[in-house]
Amino acid sequence: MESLLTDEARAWLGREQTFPLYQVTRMQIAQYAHTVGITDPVHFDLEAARRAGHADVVAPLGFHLVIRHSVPNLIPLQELAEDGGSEDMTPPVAASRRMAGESSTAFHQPILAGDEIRLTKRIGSMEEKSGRSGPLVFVGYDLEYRREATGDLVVSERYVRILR
Amino acid sequence: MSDVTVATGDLLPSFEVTPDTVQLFCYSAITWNPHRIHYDAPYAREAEGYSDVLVQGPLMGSWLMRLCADWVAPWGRVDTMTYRTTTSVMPGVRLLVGGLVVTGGATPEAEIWVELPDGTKATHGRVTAVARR
Repeated sequence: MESLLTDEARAWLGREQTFPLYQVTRMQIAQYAHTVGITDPVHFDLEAARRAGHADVVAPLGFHLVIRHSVPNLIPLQELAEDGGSEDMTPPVAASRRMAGESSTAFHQPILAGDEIRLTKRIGSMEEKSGRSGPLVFVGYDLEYRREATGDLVVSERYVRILR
Repeated sequence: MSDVTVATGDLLPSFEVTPDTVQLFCYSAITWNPHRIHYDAPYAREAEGYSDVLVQGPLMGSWLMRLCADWVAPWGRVDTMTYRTTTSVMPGVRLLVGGLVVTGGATPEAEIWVELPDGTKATHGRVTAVARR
């Protein structure tokens, strides 16, 4: 079977990207909470958040997904592909489809309104396997979300993308 | 230590959701996701061969995180979570978001899933949590 993982693609292992700061607002937190059907007032109401011991409105568990998907797509619309997607650190592999694999997330601290979060993304693994429809490439991304003001790691994540 | 004890075999506080194209639109908007596959039905059919637009994979994760946050709220916090979606989901399908504690105690672990009406687990994962001291 012909390999998809060329030397050119393998050279992407260890490649790292730092994205523009994501400024978290109460508005975005409320929009995310409503979209996912979350009703706890600590995500909408400053007083409720303070009574629960937070300095500001707190983002629901999962808000880092907003950051993960937003910042790589902060490019001019004419640079998007025909399908509306962006390249987003995809190694040059002769594959026609890309699919989401496993996501593993560790939650260290809550994200609050007013935080500025810096996402860095690194290609930590690249592996070829044979599937029923031919070769598959598994690309593992290591993501770190840090609060810019303190450098604190708030969320860390490993995300696998499957190319075939 | 919290008074609440988490026991093996406990169910997580499951909920049902039937995503529609409004919810998909709002999720693409808040995550700034311009992929056509989630809003352009003719494109999804003709270019990608699906019967309709697709529910975003991360939205499945977002529901699971909502489930886990509701589960731990009275007694602790979520430590880690792993999940994977293996079945494409279309809007209009009733989904059950649920889970089962597989290891009880002060650092419990649970299986979590998003289930289709025929019982298929479209998304499947694990969560670990830590009780407040």
